[in-house]
Amino acid sequence: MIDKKYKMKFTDATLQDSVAYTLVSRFNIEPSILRAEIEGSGGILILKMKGEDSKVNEAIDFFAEQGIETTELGDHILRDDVKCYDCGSCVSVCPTRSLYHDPVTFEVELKIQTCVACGACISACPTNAIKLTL
Amino acid sequence: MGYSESRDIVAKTYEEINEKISKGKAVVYTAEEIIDLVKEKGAEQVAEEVDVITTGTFGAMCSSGAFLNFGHSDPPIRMANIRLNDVEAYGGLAAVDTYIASTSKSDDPDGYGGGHVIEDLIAGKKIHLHAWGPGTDCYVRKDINTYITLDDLNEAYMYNPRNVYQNYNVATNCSDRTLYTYMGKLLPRMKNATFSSAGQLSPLMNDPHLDTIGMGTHIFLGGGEGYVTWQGTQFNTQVAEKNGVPISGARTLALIGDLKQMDKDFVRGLNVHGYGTSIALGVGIPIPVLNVDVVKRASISDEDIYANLIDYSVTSKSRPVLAQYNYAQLRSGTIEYEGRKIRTSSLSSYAGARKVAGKLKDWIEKGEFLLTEPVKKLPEKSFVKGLAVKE
Ligand code: SF4
Ligand code: SF4
Repeated sequence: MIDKKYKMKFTDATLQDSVAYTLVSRFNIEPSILRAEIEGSGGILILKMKGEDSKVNEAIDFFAEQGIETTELGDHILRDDVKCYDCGSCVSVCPTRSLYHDPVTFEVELKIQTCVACGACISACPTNAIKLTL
Repeated sequence: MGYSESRDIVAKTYEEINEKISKGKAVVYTAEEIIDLVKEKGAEQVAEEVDVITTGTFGAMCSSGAFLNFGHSDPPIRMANIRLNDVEAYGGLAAVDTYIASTSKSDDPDGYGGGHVIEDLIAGKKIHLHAWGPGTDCYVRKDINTYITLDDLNEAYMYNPRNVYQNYNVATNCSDRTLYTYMGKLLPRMKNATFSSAGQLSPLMNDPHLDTIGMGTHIFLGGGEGYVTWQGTQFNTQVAEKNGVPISGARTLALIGDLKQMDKDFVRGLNVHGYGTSIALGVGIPIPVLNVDVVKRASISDEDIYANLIDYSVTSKSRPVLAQYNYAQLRSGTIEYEGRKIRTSSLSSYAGARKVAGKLKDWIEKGEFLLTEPVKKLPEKSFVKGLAVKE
């Protein structure tokens, strides 16, 4: 069973509509769309896929044939720990509480696993310490 | 033993405290550590045992900048128009003196300003100096284009007209659009709130009426040593209090410190989105335990320090107070307003404030930092005037 976040990169925006349907009907994968950024000529989709390992891999291959590149989200958000001074400005704008104060040290921690790459924290950070690498 | 009697017993002088510091025998606690110690032992006992309480804060302090002297080139120039890494520095001083202010901004889209120039100087980086002058009989050169480092400068000292605000507002946004303010990013419909004080660790919360802090007080500024030089601008003693501390912006301090001693870990250039550039500074002020009252005031905790929630979507100067919260509530991550939960963000670094207070404590324990008795008390009465727009 896989339950992970992925980034899909489109060059043809019209394909985007069918992704969730295809995942459910063809591969029995439970998708949840976390973020969609589509422009005329394409865009990106951040989504979570939950399903059988083999089915997820099949789905990725299937989409690749249609020109949709799928990569697992891992280091999709970077924080420069030298620039960051643990002010906390980013904490209350993060919808998933992926940025939070350690209750003991009060340092600001980033939990990459729960980050949905929404980007809300970027303009909240006064040291430009956070970057999305999508 | 009566109260006044016990006070007499623990009365200490600056000289006595400094003597202990010099011998490496001073007992020092931070303003955070002292809270539990007083709960456990009582203020009288603590006043006897402890010599110094260190405070700290590490947050944005816009009214900051540094005086620099470049030295003379050959042939010399009277610099009238000065850029440091494309950030404008003041050109109205003598030939090769300038003041670089934290909020002065270059055209760089990433938001590079005077605060970053200061941070880069402290980090030892090369800074591009470009300056123009009128060309006079004694200063013939009309422009200069070169690189400088902190070591190249004759003098470099920070002089900040307003730092360490004693308390401040809690900001929220009741409107329908996101606001980018000097109080950070405020999401629409009160989805978040921001606050900026270090609360129980903050210097002026621990000596709220400035009984020990005054002109000449030896302090920690940006990782080096500095002094309190004057009351800060907008110094206000007429603010309502709760538990002996003001509930909104009140007293401030003007500070001076040697840039050459500073440490990059306690200085950050800031780019506050939609507002402009600034600087975050670590400031620590030691409080001498002269008597029991000093301990009582410095043992105040976040639960007893309050601040006002203000709607920053109201653009006029007089904004209504929506509610009041203490710093323990604010620091918990959520506050409640009329049945709804609002998430909170601190804008100043509490972890950083701890580091400042801890480092100052370390200096004093090692006998490297002595206390000074103020040479002048800061005003006991002062209020802030507005600016009338006259025809
Ligand atoms: S991009 Fe930033 S605000 Fe958005 S979920 Fe990730 S950490 Fe939180
Ligand atoms: S806003 Fe930026 S500097 Fe402040 S805690 Fe978050 S990442 Fe660090």
